[in-house]
Amino acid sequence: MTKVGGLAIRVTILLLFSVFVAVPLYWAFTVSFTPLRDILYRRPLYPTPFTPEHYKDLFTGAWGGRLGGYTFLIPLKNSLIVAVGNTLLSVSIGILAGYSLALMNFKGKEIMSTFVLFAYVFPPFVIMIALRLLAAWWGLRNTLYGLILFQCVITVPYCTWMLRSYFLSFPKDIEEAAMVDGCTRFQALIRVVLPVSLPGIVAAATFAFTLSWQDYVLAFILLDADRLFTVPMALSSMVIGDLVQWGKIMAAALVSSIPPVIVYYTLQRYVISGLTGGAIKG
Amino acid sequence: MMKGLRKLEPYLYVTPAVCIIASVLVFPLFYTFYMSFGEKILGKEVEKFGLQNYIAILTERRFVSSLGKSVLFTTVAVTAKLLIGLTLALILHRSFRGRNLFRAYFFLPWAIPWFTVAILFLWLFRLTGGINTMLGAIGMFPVFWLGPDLSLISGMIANVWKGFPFFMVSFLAGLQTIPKELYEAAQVDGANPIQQFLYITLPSLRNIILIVCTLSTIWTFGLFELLYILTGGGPGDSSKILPILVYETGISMYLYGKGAAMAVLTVPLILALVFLLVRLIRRTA
Repeated sequence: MTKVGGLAIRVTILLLFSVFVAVPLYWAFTVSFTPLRDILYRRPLYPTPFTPEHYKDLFTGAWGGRLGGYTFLIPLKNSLIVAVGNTLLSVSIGILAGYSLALMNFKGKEIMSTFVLFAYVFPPFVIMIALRLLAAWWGLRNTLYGLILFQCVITVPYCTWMLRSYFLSFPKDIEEAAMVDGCTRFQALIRVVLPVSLPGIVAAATFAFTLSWQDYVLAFILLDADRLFTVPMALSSMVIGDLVQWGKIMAAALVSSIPPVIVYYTLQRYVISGLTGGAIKG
Repeated sequence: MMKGLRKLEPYLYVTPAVCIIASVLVFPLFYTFYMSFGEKILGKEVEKFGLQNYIAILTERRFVSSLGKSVLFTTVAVTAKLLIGLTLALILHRSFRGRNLFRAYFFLPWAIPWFTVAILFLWLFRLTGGINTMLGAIGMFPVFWLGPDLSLISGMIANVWKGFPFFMVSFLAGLQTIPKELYEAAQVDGANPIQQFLYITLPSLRNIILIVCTLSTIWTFGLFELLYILTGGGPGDSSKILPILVYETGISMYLYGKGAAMAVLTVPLILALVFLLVRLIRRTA
């Protein structure tokens, strides 16, 4: 009796949450495949009449709202530039710092590690106003390189911490053997440590890419010009206004979620251990 | 000479990281602190130093009520995520057919970026949006999800939707590390499932639960874009959590000093959480 009861409860809970997870996504698909007029007036429960026009519009037609005249390719391109630039910058910095914090001995190492962890979790809204003013002074307002630099507040600590955890598991004697053979520290890093750590570096890079791709707050502080909007900004800027083009927005929202979804699924193990500072091995 | 260089080498490696973090985090943080004690007008230096911003904030109801909303939002959302994550992890830890499918499926919301989540729920919660259309289909009246009474709760639902998988996956990872022998021994001693949960599962997961909750508390408290896109903090001030109030005061209304003072007042809270987290991670990793 209790066994059957337990099973029934478990099945019910699983079904309940399956529905909970499905509803928002189901509606996004429905809206993105239905003509706008039908979405607003007929309000169907599933896509009728079915149309892929919103997806086609994203890449060919004009992208309405404040971005009138541009296609969705513009924000996609901006996001790509920023994410790639930021990834290259933060991974290079993260490799050096992570290596040093994991495999070298020096005074203040502990404090430095704590400092990086602190930076990693610090919520950017606290420094929002200062960043806005500093961006103006430093001439970084409405520039993509400014955004690349500002997003480092998230990605540099993340990459450093993640790579530190990764390098910590690196066998020290291999590195020492390389130095006995006449390598300098830097050569040992480049020739011995890096090739072996490639999976970890790729994971850190991919993850930095998605963090930058998803960033809203820093882009929001820095960018006012529609031409420079990254994907999150372009999307939310379309919501403001009287006639919201729901089909297009949903299509864009779903399309721009694809890169993070792929990354999270392929790197699930790294995601959890990276986010929890290596405390939980996913 | 060579030896001195050797000693300097580790510092050389951390310098770029330290410089970047210093310029985009530490310096802005100090500047926020500095601004909070004065009045700043666009294009001018900070002047008229004193405690006026702090006095103004603490005597107005707006800041305190916004802080209260943030604390409420964070507490409810984190608790819900914890309970849901733990329940699902316990169910999905048992072996049954299709278990991996469920694990992969429940992981999905976590992989979707915040701005997309906000837009998905913006559609769902509209007066003529997804939920009300479904309610209408079964003959129920529409609900004003983004109205003054429910806007904060609607935000919590969206937050929980995206956040619970992180708890679930972390707990599943933790559950794997508990040796099976413990449960076998407990069964031999006649412990029932509830006792096994209370005396074996919960204590073994303790550290993971604490880390995940602390981390999620910091993230949830600092989350700006979800409610900003979903409700803009409104209607009225009904969902004006602190990050939105700081933005409105400091950036939209150009009251730099006042906004900065609001941000500064949250720093002790955030620092306490961060130090707790650092200790927990140090102890576990």
